[in-house]
Amino acid sequence: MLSPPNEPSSEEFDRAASSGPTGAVALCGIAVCIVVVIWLAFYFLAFLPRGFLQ
Amino acid sequence: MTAESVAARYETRWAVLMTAIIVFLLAIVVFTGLHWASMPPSRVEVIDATTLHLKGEFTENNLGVAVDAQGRITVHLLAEQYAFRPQCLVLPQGEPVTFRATSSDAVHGVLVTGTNINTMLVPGYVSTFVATLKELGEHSMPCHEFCGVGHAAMWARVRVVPKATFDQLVRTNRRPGCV
Repeated sequence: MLSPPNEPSSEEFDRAASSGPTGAVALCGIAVCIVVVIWLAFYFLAFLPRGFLQ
Repeated sequence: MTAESVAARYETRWAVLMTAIIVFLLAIVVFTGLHWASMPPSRVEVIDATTLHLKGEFTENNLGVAVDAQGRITVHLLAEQYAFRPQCLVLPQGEPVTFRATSSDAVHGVLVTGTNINTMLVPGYVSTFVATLKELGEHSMPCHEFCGVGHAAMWARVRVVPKATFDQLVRTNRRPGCV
C-alpha cells in the first residue's frame, strides 16, 4: 500500500491533537447558540403571546 | 495523551452539554405548560359522521357561535369538502371561547392566523379546545390538511370584535354572524 512520504507519525499526530479540537468546538458552539436563541425567541416572543389552548 | 482519548473526552463533554440544553428547553415547555394548564387541542370524543346533518349538536341550525344562559360562548364548526360552516365567525375579544369542531367527510385541519388555534378535524371525532382571542380584526381560518382538489380554496374567517359589540350582536341575533 502506497503512502505519502510526509504522513505524520502516530506520535506527531497525538501531539497535534492533544490541545483538542478547539476550532470545531467554537464552530459547533456558535451554531448551537444560534439555534437555542432562535428557539427561545420563537417560544417567548411568538408562541406564548398567541395564548394557550385549554 | 493519544488523539483517540482527546476525541473521546470532547465527545463526552459535548454529549453532556447537548443533553443539558435539551433538558433545559423541555423544562421551559413543561413549566409553562403546567403553569398555564395548557392542553393538547384534541381528545378522543367520538360522533357518528354519517348522521351529523340529521341529529346532535352539528345540525345546520346549531352551527356557529352560541352564548348560553351563563354567558359561556361555544362555537360549533363543521368542516366539509371544501368549506367550513359557518364561513365566518364573530367572536369577542378577550373572552374564553369553547370550540367544538368536526368533519363530515375527509380529514381536514383548522387554524386561525395570529393565534395558537390549530387542530385536526377527523370524521367521527370531535375536536374541543378553549381559546381566548386577543387581537381585534379579521383573521383567516384556512384548512391546513390537504383534503382534496378544492383544498386550496377552503378558507373561512374569524372576526374578533370588542366585547360590547359582540354583546350587542347577541342581543339582536340568536347566532351572531359576519353579515
